Amino acid sequence: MTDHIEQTEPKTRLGRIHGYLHSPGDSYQLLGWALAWAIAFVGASWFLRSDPAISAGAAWIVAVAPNLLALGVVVVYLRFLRNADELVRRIQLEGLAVGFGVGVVLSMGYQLLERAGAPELSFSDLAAIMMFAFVIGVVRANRQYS
Amino acid sequence: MNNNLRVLRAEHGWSQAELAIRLEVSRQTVNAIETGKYDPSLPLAFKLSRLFGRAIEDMFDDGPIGATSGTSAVTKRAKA
Repeated sequence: MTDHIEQTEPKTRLGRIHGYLHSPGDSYQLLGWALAWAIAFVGASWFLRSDPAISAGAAWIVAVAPNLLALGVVVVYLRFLRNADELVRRIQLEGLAVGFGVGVVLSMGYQLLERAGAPELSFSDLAAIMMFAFVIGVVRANRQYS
Repeated sequence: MNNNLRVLRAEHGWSQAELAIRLEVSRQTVNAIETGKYDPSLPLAFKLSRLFGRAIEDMFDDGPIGATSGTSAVTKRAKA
């Protein structure tokens, strides 16, 4: 009875962690796009801070390029969510809730701390903290349902 | 919610991965349901019911009789 069932038990550690049998490709695509974006962002930041001898137009192209990859991440993440099953969606929702909650608390609350003398946080610092909080939320939810 | 999904799966000789394929969900979901850490949605409960040929209340139990008038939460939603 099981002969026609394709054995798609995850062979890699990443696959076993995710357990995504129906759309493992979506997970790897998402990871690929996110890594590409992170590398492009760090590279562009470093490059522009080094005060390169390039035209303003070229500087704009370097600055915009990572954002196009970021849009790609959003598109792939939406596709990932649409293909994911109900438990995976719940886990992602909990991660998004934690990330969003931390972002709101930080952006509103840290303004007051800055006025009280705390060091200034840039918008990208805040975004990085939100992403980190999202990952923490997803990891916690994964453990809860494992 | 308690369930006997693991027993039913074993009776059919399926692994969690095989059951997940049949239900069109991830293996993580199957494992979470079997260990009682996740209660399936109504559509998924009906899929399980059709797959194993059992009534939902024969597979899931949300407590002792009397605590919830003997009807599981999944069945209550199904009858609503």
